[in-house]
Amino acid sequence: MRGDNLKYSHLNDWSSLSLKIGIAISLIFVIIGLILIGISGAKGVEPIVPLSQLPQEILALNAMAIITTGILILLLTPILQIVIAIVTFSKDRDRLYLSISLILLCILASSLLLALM
Amino acid sequence: MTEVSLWALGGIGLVAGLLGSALGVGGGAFIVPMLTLALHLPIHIAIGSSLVAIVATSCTATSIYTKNRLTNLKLGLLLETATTPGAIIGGFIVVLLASSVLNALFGVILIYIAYTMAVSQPAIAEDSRHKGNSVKPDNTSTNLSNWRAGSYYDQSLDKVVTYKIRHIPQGLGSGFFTGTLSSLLGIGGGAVQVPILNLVMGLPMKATIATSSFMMAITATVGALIHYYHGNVYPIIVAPLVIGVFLGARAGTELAQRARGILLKRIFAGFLFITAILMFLKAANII
Repeated sequence: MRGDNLKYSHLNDWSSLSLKIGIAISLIFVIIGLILIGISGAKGVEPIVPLSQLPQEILALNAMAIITTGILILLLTPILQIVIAIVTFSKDRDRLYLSISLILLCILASSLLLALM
Repeated sequence: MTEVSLWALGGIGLVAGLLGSALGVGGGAFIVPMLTLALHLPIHIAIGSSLVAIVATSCTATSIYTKNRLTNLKLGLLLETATTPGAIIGGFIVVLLASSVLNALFGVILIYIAYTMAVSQPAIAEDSRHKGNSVKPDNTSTNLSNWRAGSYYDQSLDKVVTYKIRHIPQGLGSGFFTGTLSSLLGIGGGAVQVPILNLVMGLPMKATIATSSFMMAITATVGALIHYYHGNVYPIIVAPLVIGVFLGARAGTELAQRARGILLKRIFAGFLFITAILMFLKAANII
């Protein structure tokens, strides 16, 4: 039991760290976007910038594109947790929870693909 | 979108984050009515925005709970296999429903949340009834060794609390329902999930809140992505909300430690009841 616990303590630590990093990076993008809006003045309510246009719009310092990137990073953060769980369970050869985590990843990935279509 | 509206959105997020972390429930229940009643945003956009904000609060809270080994990660992952499909279904049903129907449904859920907050008991009274010992744990997690049982070190009780998990099928069923509600109404689902985890499945309250928070982050992510697909997520609305929610969640943990939780819950229950009435009036196009 003790050895088993030591093995899985890494999942808790990596999960916590990945969440903090994801939130931090997301907030940085969102804050930069809001600062750009503050500088250029608030405009009307504009929708999400399409994924295909994101890279060039970010380089053009489009505030909406930068905020959209921040939102996407935030939404990817819980997905990263599932990936960490998959890595942990596959190393430990816990087939049941590897299967459960893979199912969850498929559900989340399909939702993400749908959103980015 | 004016500068005043951006500050108003930030303020709504701040209060939602504060309430969510101090009371353990209520982020979406505050955000959606405020966006629709105070800022007159269409409810579908309010729901999409709220779900993104819930991801921010839940991730913030979960990062602390997992570090402290409170979260039963295996149980959370298991229950999410039912919750996430519910979230997808809710996300597709929502666009089929008229705004008036959603406003009325939201009023009903607010009445339920107000009731649960009004009758809730202090968490410590429940946790002290679980088995435990005063041996302080080392830096290991005991929550993943067997998902039918779990344990964590409770600082306030100064002991390791152990518990057994019961009624997994009921948990999966309620998880599906919670996921559907979450995407349908833009709430985290804690008001439904917390009583199930605590009263039906046998988790102590602290493990319940931690595990529920972990689940909310994933459920709200699915719902937010579906709403993103529907075009209900606007960066200019979400950005100040997320900043406000993050700041409020940090302050809320301080408030939770200093203020009487039961008093806060009663006050918020009263506020939710009034808000429910307003949502019903909005559904009837009276306001």
